[in-house]
Amino acid sequence: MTNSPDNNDPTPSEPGEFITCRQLIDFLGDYVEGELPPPDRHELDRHLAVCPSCVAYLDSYVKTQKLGRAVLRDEAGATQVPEDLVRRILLARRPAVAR
Amino acid sequence: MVRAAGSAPSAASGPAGPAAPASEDSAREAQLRAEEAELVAALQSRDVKKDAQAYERLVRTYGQPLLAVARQLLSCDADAHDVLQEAFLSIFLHIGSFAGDARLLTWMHRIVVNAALMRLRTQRRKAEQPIDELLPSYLEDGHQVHDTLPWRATVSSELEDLQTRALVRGAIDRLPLSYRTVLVLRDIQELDTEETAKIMGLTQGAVKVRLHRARQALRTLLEPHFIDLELAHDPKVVLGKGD
Repeated sequence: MTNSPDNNDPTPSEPGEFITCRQLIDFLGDYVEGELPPPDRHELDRHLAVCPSCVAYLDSYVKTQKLGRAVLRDEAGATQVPEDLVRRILLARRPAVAR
Repeated sequence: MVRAAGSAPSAASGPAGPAAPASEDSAREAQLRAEEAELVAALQSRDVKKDAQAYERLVRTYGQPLLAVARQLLSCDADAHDVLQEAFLSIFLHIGSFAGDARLLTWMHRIVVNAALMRLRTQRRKAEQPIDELLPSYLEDGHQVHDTLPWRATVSSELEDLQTRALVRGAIDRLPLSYRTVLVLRDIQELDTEETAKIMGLTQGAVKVRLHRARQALRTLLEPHFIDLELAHDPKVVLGKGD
């Protein structure tokens, strides 16, 4: 339970009540990573079942991760080491060898 | 642990590609290990000619994935090039201390990340947008001040458009440095929390909090571009479907 800056527990104040949007969003990182204990996960699921705004938040949170990952990974795949950089790196080693 | 991006012959390469049978995997792993051991032995030898050839092979084999890591952390090509050069020099100078208990690429990856972080720390900081403004705000009863509007189901396919890609990249670059770094190390490079905490000098709890805030802030920056205006105005539609 380290995701929450306020260390709130995702536990409703009264049995049968729902956790708040804040509690849900605070623990969303652990939720999407599958790191929440089953009782806490259940509380988040109960809230999601009745809160379209939090469903939209969760959906956009996951899409954000996917977008960031896709853009940076594609960029990484397209990265080329220019030949002049290779030469620069090889040349830079020479003084180190001479030490 | 470390899943370095790029196409170097690494057992830590990404999830792409068909799954090979376990025996093929272990044979390939053994071959990679043997090639690495041979390369490291040549680099650690004091034979100048052998060592020079090995160094060039090292640079040509691993330069691409290591440059990709540097470029993900730094937002400019020139800085990433300088960091790669510094990192290779450091790798060359310290290869004697490489004991082979980690994969060579993992070990080099750490050196590149550290060099990139050093560069970022010594650069004059740009004015960073405070992260708090990019986090959700709540009413006293814990509900969101503004309802979250649904995003289009097609956001991933929209990445085929270069402008959309540039927009996402620009949003990542707008994240405050420490948040962007955690996001890249955890979500892109897929270092685990422990390794990220070690590299950044943070507790594991702090890494988790920063990662969550970084994702939330990035979500906020992207939100205006991906809201589904049709769904947002249709009360009958179940929110959050797609992708």
